[in-house]
Amino acid sequence: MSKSPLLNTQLLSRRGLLAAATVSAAAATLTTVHSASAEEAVDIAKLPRVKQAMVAPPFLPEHEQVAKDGPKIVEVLFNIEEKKMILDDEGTEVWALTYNGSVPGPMIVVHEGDYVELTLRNLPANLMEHNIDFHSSTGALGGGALTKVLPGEQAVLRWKATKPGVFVYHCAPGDIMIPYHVVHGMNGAVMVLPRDGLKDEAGKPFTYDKAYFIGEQDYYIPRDEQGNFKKYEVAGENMSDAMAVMRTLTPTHVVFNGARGALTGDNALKAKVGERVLFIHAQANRDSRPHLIGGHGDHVWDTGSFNDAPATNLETWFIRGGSAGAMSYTFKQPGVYAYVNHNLIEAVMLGATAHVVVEGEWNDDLMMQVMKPGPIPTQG
Amino acid sequence: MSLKSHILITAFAVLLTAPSAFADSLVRVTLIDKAGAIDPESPHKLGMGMKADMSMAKMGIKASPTTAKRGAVTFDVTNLASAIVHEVIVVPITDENKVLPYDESRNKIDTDSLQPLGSVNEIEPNKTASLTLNLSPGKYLLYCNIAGHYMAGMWTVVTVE
Repeated sequence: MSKSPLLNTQLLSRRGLLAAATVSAAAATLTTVHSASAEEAVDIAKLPRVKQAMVAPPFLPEHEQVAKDGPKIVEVLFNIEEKKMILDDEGTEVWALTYNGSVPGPMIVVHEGDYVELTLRNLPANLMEHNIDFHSSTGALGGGALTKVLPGEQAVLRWKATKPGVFVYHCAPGDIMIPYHVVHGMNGAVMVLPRDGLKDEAGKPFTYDKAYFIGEQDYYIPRDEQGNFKKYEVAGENMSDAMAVMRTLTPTHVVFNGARGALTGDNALKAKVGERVLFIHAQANRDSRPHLIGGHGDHVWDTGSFNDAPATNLETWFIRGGSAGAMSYTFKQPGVYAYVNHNLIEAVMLGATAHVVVEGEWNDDLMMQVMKPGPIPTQG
Repeated sequence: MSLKSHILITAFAVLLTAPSAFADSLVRVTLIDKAGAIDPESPHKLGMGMKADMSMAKMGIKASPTTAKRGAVTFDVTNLASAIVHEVIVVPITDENKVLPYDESRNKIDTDSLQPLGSVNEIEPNKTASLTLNLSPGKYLLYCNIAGHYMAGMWTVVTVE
């Protein structure tokens, strides 16, 4: 298939393209022509279509682990909403940039070979241009070049899920707006399951009883001269202040699901002894090192690729900034577990802690308190 | 007299402009583009005093707060537009219900009767810039006079008390 000169420009480095203020609409149009060969168009037209209702994290949309039928088109709607959110119990504010009003954005779940057809709607009350870059997709800066929408506009992007795994998506409108949007909450994850489901380390079928999506978010909130976090009237107004904090590479908050405490207390994750729970962890910007205090990573796909056998029995695993990974654990004891970023400064002081409340019977064989804490006995 | 000759102060659009510490008042100004291209030949009718439905605006300026104390007032301007260069001109007005003279042929405010106090010129997309003016009590119009932008809704009023 011949390539147009503009398509060839996409051979430029990603960095070079990102540095350009705009990726031309012309390139986008040509890319559309390029992908719509007659054969593909016929096949796609014959595919069944299903709508996937988005749910706010930590929950996942309803899905089958093993695909019952052949490939389909999964229709998804993201409403982009710029909204003020509270980050902690001190009332610290951020004008979050969100897909569907949550940080992180909702998880999409499909099978390898399915097509995701996303309607990306930039609500009219918003102030900024947005788009979306799916790490799970192929071409056009992950769709970023084809989805730039101003407030009051929408675009529709279809991409084929060719790689099984868990992947980050995020806003990438260009230049300094890329990190700005990502650290204001505009990211989420996609899970592409193999059509015949997950496999364990021996290649045997592997299923989970429930799944949670934990999106880790680093925030860089400006402070005033007194050291108090600043508040702003509208989204985007903090630009110069926020850029100065971002340049330090030192976040003021590192949290799960948008805010400190979003997954603790009444909002804690729930499980039962004997349940195998899949945790999908995404970090669109910064490295993380999840750890389940009191448990283990039984099966860990820390690179996110479901083509690779999972590592087993890990104490702590690694999520590279700009990626998602998955871990499963079968709970063996009741009680409260802490799921943390095991940089403990980030976990405890900056907020990256979730709780899992597990019901069931205690197993004395695995652990028992032989003696309660008390005075050290005097030696006889 | 040309518009340019009115401009007394030019601020430079730099990536990181910290708010000026010496300013008595800080007004944050954001420049916004919305859906739908503007027609540079035929003006929209969304100017000051035109009692238009500003929800139809294709472009806009937001200022917060909309009031400032007399004296040194710093405008920290952020161009949130992703592809369009804007400018901000500050001019005193007496009546915000009054329609300003408009040069239809150039699709710009006719600036002959106005006395701009300062401006931030050519702010590139995603950039910030800062402008400090010594303002006495009154009302001030902030607007962009790039062809078509003002009538597309790119203005707001700040009151100095």
